[in-house]
Amino acid sequence: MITALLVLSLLGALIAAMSTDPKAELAKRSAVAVSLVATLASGAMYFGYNTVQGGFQFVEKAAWLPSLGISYHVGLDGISLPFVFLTALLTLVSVLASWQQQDKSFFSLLLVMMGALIGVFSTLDLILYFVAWEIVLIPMFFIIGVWGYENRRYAAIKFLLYSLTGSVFMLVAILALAFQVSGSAGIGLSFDYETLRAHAGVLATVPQFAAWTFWGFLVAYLIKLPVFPLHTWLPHAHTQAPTAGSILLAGVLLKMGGYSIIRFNLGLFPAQMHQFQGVLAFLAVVGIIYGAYVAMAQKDLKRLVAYSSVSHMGFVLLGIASLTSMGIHGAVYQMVAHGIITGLMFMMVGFLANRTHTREISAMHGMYDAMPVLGGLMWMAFLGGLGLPGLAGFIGEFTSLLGAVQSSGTVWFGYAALIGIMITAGFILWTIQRVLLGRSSSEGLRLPDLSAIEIAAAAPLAALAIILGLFPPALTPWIDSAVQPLLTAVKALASR
Amino acid sequence: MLLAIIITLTAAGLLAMLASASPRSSTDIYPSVVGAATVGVFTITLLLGILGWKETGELYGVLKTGPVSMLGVIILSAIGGLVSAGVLANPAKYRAGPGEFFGFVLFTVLGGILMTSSSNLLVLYLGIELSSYSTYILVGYYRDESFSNEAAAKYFLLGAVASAILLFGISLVYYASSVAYGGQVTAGGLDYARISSLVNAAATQLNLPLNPMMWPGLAFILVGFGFKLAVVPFHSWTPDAYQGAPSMVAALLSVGPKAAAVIALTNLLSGAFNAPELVHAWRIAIMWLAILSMTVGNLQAIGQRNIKRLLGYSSIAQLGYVLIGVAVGTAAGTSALILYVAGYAFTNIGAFTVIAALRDAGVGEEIDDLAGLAKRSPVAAVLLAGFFMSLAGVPLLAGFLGKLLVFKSAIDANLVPLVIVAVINTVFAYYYYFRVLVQVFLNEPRDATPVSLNPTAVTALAVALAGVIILGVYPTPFLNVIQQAAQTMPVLALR
Repeated sequence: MITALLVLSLLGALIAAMSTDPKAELAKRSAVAVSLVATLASGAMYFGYNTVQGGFQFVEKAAWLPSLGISYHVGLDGISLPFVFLTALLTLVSVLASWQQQDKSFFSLLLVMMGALIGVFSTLDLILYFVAWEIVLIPMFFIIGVWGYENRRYAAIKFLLYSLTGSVFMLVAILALAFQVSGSAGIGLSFDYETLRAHAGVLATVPQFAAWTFWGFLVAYLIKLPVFPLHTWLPHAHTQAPTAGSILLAGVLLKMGGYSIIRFNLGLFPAQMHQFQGVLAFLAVVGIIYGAYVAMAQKDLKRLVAYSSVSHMGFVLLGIASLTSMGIHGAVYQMVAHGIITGLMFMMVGFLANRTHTREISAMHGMYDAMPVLGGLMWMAFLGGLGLPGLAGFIGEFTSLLGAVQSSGTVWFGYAALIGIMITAGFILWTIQRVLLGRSSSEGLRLPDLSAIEIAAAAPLAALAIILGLFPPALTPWIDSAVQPLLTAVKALASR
Repeated sequence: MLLAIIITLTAAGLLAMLASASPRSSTDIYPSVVGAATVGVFTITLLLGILGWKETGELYGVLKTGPVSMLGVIILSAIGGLVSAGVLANPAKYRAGPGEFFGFVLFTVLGGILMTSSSNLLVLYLGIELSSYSTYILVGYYRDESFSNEAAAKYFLLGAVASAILLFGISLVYYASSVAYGGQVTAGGLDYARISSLVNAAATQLNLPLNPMMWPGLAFILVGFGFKLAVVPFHSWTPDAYQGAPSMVAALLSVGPKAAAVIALTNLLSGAFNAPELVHAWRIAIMWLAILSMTVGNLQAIGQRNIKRLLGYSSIAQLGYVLIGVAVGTAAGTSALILYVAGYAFTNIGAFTVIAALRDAGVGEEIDDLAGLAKRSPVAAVLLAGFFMSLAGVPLLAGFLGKLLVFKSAIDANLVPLVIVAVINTVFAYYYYFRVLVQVFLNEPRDATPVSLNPTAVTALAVALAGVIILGVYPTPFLNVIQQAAQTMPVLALR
């Protein structure tokens, strides 16, 4: 099933790349079809997943480079399934949101990226995972660099180099880890996640090595998440990317970091996670407060949303660092919620910028008056970003914070993070006031409201934001089924 | 089988040279015929290499046949074939009419095969010189262009000095391996196995200290190889030579002699200099050469404006990664470096062939000239992107797998700091490779006239790109073969 999804994405990309019509109609259609099928298929897998049984399901395994211990091994569990669904859905939404795009390569690259992202979330072999992780960079590099705004080349290169710097350290860590584990445990060299996890206990004998390897993995994820002070690529990339690029960047690419911290840092190095809990929580809180403050100072609407992401991702890290089931649960919930809500935010900002031809906050006012549908959805998205109860973001932030104050190691960081919530409320309400409220100028009134296809692009996100805000059981059991086993290792350490 | 291959190449080379004296040599079809015949010869030697895979033995006591030398034959024949096919796309431009050009390509490959199969220092030297002299001439092939002349002069002078140093080193090693004990003098050796057994016997059975002249001997040999491999600090000729040489010659120069030299170096170091203190010394020396090459090569490449100079510096850096495999010295390291070199060969020839084909189509060699190439010639842009991404090390392409294996073997041998330097270097490398792709894909063309590539070149390029992708996606069969071959080499114990 997963393999079928991967093949389907590449096939769709190939069809899109081969199409010859000048308006890229075929490419567009194949992109919609493929991402729609992927959304439905991943939705089916989501609901087909047995949350009681837990563990990895839909597993497929085949030899790839047997002499090196590298295999093709994919499978999904409760924390990767939501992201696979999110990837497919956001790709579909991005395609719909870029309906005016007439370049077939754009759609082809979107599909390649979808395949690679599904790969990141589903691979269970560390080398295969690394391959998928790296491939994600390439289409995003071109999407930002070719179809972005005025400063796109700088943003694209910066994005590429930052991400790459992280991933090369991850590669060294992957190799070192596999050798250490296979050597100490006396098994053949293997990069298989489940094998490594089963034998990760041998790392207790080499704490220094384990700490270095832990940070090797973590650097890549902290850059991706991103965490202060490694976040400086993000404002450029998010601001300069075209709407589809921003949606996928904020919606899925950042989640690669949070997902991987849970999967690899927590899964393979529970002792180090415990050891560096305070450092992570500190970085998280700095990110929360700093991101919110800087967002408040922005004059560019897209940049403001970008910095708000830095703040929101801080909650993810804080939840993980709490090492409580509540906190990690909150972190995953927050990631999914942020993907949906910020995706919607970037979409609305993109639609708005397409109409007004500016992203300057000072140049816009009374947009709700001018375009009630766009304005209404934007209003909803911003309130979701604020963490309004009833929308998905609230549950994510609340549970992360609750987890943080439950844990003795992070309780004060949890309280400190509350300051960030206040600042976030401040800049979001202020932005709503500046951009949406007031009477529109006569010029503004001539702007067209959302077209049917744009509403279709926004509708699934808006609906999910409400569903996940009012009905957490749609996501909670899945997360729980994966988080509980991870925490047993940590609990054993804590009680020692 | 090795003998058959050597005879085939010698005969073909001589025939190509003689053909230039033929009265019909000025006709239009003639160069294409010689070129096609050259590609045919390389195909034959490649097949012979595959057929002779299982054979092991010796030739006159100085050449060793076995999987490693056959791998050398296969890789070098593929390199020669691809380069000749690239030249065939526009033979007139290389003044290949008289057939000498292809003759020298054949001799370059022959020299490389002698190097990889040699088990004797003098034959090694012979192989190095044969391939070097052929490439000296090829670099200066544009007789009327001052750039080409300058490149050839620089390359020749530095190369000749390096050869002299290498030869001096060989003579010192010959002296230092001789044993004077109890009033009796045992003559030294030029044979790898003999050097090794003399040195080891003197140390373990007779308890003699190592002859101090061994150190300068080893050092001079490494310096000589350093020049041939163009690793820092012996690299200064490379960018000029690449820029001035015809593109296809630069392609040959950047992969052919280097692939041969690096396999020969591994053979030599693990075969002849395997006494523990010597291993320790050359390992450190090679590590520093690797570190310097990667760092200096990559940093210098960042500022380049000419694409051939950029590839020149990039090849310096790439050889730095390869040297990590030499420094590791284990079977894993050796198989990693062979796979790396094979992938690099396909990739770099591909990159140079695209540039040569673009030049034939009227696009300049400055990086700025490539602006907006994606709009002018999507085919060329995609091919260039494939090769440059492989050079940078993007997964699922040959360059990534080579790097992965080299790093893996180095971590296994506890050379983690070396790997850290190497991975930081890959970030710099990404920057300049992608800077070219930024020009190609993201910038607007200066003049939007469409460019079309020569179909022969596109065919050769498609083969090279297919090789790059196959090596990157499903290398298992090649890996098995290379690992088998590496097992037969006299390798060092782990750590």
